Amino acid sequence: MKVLKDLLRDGKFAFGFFVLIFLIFLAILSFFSPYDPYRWNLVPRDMPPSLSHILGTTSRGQDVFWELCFAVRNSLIMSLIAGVLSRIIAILVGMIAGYKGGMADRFLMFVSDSFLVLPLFLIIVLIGSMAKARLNLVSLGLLLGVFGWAWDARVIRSQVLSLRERDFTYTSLLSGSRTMSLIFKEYMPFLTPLVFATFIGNVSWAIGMEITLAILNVLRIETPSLGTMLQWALNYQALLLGYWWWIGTPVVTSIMLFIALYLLSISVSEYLDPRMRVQRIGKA
Amino acid sequence: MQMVISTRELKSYYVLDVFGKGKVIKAVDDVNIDVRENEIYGIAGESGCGKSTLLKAIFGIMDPPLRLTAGKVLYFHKEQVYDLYSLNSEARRNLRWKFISYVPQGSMNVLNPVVKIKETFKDFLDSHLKGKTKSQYYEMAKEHLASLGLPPKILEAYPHQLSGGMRQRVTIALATLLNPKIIIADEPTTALDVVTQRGVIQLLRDIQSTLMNTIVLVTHDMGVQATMSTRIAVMYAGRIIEEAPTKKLFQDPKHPYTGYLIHSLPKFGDKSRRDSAPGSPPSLAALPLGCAFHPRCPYAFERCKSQTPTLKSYEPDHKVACWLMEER
Amino acid sequence: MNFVKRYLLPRLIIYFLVIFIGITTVFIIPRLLPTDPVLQTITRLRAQGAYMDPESTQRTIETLQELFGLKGSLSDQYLRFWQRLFKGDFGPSFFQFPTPVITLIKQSLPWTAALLLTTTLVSWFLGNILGGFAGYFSNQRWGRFLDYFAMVIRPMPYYILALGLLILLAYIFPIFPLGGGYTIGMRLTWSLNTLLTLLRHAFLPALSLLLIGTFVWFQAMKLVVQSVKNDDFVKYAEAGGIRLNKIATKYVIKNAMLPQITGLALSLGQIFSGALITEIVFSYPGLGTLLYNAIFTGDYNLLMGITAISILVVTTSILVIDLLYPLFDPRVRYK
Ligand SMILES: Nc1ncnc2c1ncn2[C@@H]1O[C@H](COP(=O)(O)OP(=O)(O)OP(=O)(O)O)[C@@H](O)[C@H]1O
Ligand code: SF4
Ligand SMILES: [Mg+2]
Repeated sequence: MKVLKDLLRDGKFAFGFFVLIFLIFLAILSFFSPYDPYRWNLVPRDMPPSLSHILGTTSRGQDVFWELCFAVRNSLIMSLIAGVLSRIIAILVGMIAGYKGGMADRFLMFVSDSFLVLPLFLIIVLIGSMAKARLNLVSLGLLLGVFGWAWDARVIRSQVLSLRERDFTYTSLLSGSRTMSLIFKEYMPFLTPLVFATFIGNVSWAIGMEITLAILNVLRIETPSLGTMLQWALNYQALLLGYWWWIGTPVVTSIMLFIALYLLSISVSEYLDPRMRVQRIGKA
Repeated sequence: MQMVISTRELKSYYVLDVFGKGKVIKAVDDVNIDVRENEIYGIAGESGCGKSTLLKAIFGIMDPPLRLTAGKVLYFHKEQVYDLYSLNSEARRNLRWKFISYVPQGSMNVLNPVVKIKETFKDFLDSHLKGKTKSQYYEMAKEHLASLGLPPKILEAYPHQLSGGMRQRVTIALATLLNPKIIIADEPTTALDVVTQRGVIQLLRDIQSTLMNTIVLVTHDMGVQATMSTRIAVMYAGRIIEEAPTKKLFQDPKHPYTGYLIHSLPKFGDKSRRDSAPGSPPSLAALPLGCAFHPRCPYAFERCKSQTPTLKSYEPDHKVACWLMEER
Repeated sequence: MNFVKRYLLPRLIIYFLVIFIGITTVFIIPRLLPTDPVLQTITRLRAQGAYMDPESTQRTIETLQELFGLKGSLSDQYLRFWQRLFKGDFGPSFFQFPTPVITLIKQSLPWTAALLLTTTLVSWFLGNILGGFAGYFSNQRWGRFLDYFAMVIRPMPYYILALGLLILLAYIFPIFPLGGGYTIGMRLTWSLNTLLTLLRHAFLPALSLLLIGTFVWFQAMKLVVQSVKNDDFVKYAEAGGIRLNKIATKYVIKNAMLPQITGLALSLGQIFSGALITEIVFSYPGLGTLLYNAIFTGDYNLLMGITAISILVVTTSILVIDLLYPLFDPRVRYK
């Protein structure tokens, strides 16, 4: 709580935090939605925002506000799956490579190099376009998780390498604790800031990917998400027809979400990096 | 004798903010030293007692979180007195390398890794002299190295191609490039093997005897202090606790801590374990009240626990900060 | 020679291994997925109203299997896949039957390469120089201004930035064409006029890529510089009274560039992904548009061809940068 209070004093963090809280609130609200997001023509079509439909309605006869709640929920869930899975892989790979060194290190770094070098986006599109109907949000989250760890694993590895040089590893080794538990117990506190910052970055990458893939029409378009919402609006020429509330809602929401996540990640990494912190007071 | 540098009640603290909590590390506290012309002034003390910070304060490097908390640093240059911290940055820059130069701790890593050594020499010359061509600068660098007995060929090398000892010598050569009146050297012999250490010591000695300039030499190694310095100041927890000419200090150490430092020197033929001060040095962020040494001092008495002794002359040229001196 | 053994050889081995893995992935993915391209094509043909008796259906299936490289056992298919790849043969496109995939790619590649390579390199230089100075002189007002600007541009989804530019500079203020790579019906000849038209059409897509790219590099460089700034050799140069402009360029930026060179290599990996959205938004006639059509029409041969080509191009350019790297870092050169 104290930490949160400190962080909230930073304008960047406060902005990101409140935007995110608001979006999470929308996501929770979706559970109380009066409408089924999969059904069409539940409300009058193409209505501009009014008291009964605060963000208007779509050409599919859906309420934009409630659709947005579902979209935010699904996009967040998908990106969390991607973020958590890729964090697990990145931490494991980074720690093992950094700690074990030798052959294990060379092999794991080769794998992560290949992931970095290969045009993964095209491969994901290839997979997506071939599995079209089957690629729901959970499997998309898993897919992105499998592809999104390589760079972060490298970062974690180099951090582990520098931690390994410090004394406490030797003392713990002497006191005979088991390697894996040692790695986690001793290194995790130092790695947490990194893991957290890369997690935010990864979540934002996953949401962006979802939007891109939706626009490319390789996702299951019935599931509401920020991407499919935009895709429907584009599909029905909302821009041309002047239904700004329809196309504007996912666009503005995703811009806010990206900016919020981005500000959170800089603010948190600045807060956790002692050198930056010192510079901050040094200046003051 | 003519003074070159002097500090007046110098206080320099690291001011940190650790997860929202303020923390002050009193690395240099109330230091008064007078460095004279043509001497080798040694500063000794355990690791972490503030030696490097003192040098930085003397040289004028105040990067946050380090701050000048109070006091002054005076330079005596060409019949003039300069108050370092009241000068603007251009005036400060002009004094550097011409009046005072600096061999930082860990000199192995102070050379730009992606350019040849001669480039670094050129940059130093170029920034302080005017109106010479590139090749004239290279020529000057070559001559300078030759005069110090170092192979001019190293100018064509990259830093990582040189050994640690050679890099250390290069930084000493860089420091003497413009023949400054005073050179401050931070642990120039630490982390070198014994043979290389000898070479570096000899280099510093030669420089001092030919150029007749002043050297402030920081090292925790009392053996090096004994062979090099003409006068020694002993530092403990950010303060100078004793200062005397080398011979006097080694023959008649008055502060209990100095005694321990000297006894920690290995003696020829003595295989018994060396006697170092019991316990460990205090954290500079939370100093004990009174004399900072009292938790480790076998002679400590009531007064030591509440009042901090100040550095005072008890004999000509011999200053001590210990309550025992008052008791006698 | 030591350099060859320690630096060159491992990199070459990895280069070929990565290509091998990448191409194999391209081979495996369609075969792992539960969709059957042959069946899908037949269904599509039927849906288009083509009547087929069982015999001709069987013949069509065989021809299709041949064209998709799906004939024979898996290992046969795999071998043939490589053989055809070496000849540059990816089979015919389905979307523009029977034009070979390789011909389509050859037509589109120059557009994408010209647009993406220039913008990637220019934004790399621009971003690094701006970021370098802004990072070193971090108290200057212009640096902070760039920083705020970057904070808004950076997290913006590229699609939306591109769309915004298009609406602003082609629709509301019609300074630039709405799309395309050249004026429709124009003959591409070697003349100043042609060049100007090409540039005018490339301007908006290039601008959008430059904006995003420059600020991505700007921020990365700024972070690196802030850490290099605290390195011993920079502190020493400052202590030695070396002029600040010289420290910024020769000491800080020159060293901070090194990780950015690796970064450039990695960003080349994203070139083809970047091309996709750019070219869709600005209807630019490159590989991205081709890819988009391939995705929409389910043109597997074309998709696989583009993916395979981009794997080759990307890994090769990364290898080239990797091999050039020792020129900038003497520590690698003289080991
Ligand atoms: N950048 C910094 N931030 C915070 N504290 C610092 C910093 N640099 C040094 N200190 C602290 O200041 C105190 C004095 O450090 P200093 O480097 O001056 O000691 P020293 O006597 O030179 O030690 P050594 O023999 O190890 O070089 C130490 O306790 C150290 O932990
Ligand atoms: S003042 Fe007291 S505690 Fe400090 S050194 Fe002297 S006797 Fe020991
Ligand atoms: Mg020191």
